[in-house]
Amino acid sequence: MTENSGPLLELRGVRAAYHGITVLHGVDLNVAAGQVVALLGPNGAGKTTVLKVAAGLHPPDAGHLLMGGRDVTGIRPSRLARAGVCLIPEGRGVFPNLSVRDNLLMMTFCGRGRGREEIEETAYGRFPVLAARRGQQAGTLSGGEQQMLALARGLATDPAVLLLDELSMGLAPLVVAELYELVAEIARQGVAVLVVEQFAAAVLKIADHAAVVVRGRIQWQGHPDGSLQAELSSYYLGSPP
Amino acid sequence: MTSTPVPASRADRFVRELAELKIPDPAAARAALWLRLGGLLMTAGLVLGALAFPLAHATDDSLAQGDALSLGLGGITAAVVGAALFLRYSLTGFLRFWLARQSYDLDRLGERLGDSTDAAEPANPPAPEGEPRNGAASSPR
Repeated sequence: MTENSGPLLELRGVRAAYHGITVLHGVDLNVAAGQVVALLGPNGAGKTTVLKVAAGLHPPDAGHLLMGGRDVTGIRPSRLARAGVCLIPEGRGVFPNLSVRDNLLMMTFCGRGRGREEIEETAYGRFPVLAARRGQQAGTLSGGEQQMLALARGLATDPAVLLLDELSMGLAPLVVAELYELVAEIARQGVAVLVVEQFAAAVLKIADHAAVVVRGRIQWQGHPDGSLQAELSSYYLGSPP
Repeated sequence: MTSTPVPASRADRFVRELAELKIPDPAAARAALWLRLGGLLMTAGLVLGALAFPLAHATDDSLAQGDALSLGLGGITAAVVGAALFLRYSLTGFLRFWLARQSYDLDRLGERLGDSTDAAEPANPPAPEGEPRNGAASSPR
């Protein structure tokens, strides 16, 4: 826990809309340091919008975004990123025409003052498979390797809050399990992790807390146990238990 | 499950960095914008009003005079609206300062009164029985 022991990331009564259409109707969510929070829900529930609000990319229409107890609603996303908020978007967001090494070195421009050697050393230490492919174009990597590269790039910024959008998308179950093990390890180092996921099984194995969002509202949140997984299909099909 | 005992130095650093961030208050920026807009409207309105007079006098064409009249009236309206906006937002700033000053003065007064009461108490110990209070000597008869 932090010195002030409050959550690192806190959304309070967040409402958000796209072109006048409200997609979040008062979302409350906390993520503490060292915690993995899984945000689950069907397609179009507003999960990615929650992440965008948390990263400062989408200003809320009402409610507050707090980081480390400080109200940072409306602050520029670049300032949040510089402070230590890292979003890994759906679809990985790697530069397909650049090599693995160049993708990593893009992070030297993020303003957190880390050198090339340090970034490469950290990334290859954590993801040895990337070291073997450092000269290869990122677009030619497998889906799992690209996701590893995206994670490595995110971790190069030394994040305190890590926001992951659909980490499992298009990946084999074994690769997903391996990636979530890495996420759990990252959280153990004191990083607050918020994971948005449509396919719950893998993330629930490592999550300390889960929330189910349906049509822009948190329908359930608490400690994930076996009963949640059984009830999830009901939430997804629109008939909550 | 992840265990939650955490080496939290990164989180603490994050909290410290956020505490040091200067976050501009969007409401304050809006007030400054209205103040500037008010000043601009007031100035532009006065200029338009003043410009309308020579324009109207420079022609005998009643249509052109009508245009100049409209311009003048528009200028006056803009100047009135601008002045109202300018007064509203500059007065807010002044009154906020005045209120803060009043509050500070009242606090200081309260402290001074408290100090003087504290200082007065030891100087006036309860007088022994049969003697006058406040050290006033009894006058001989």
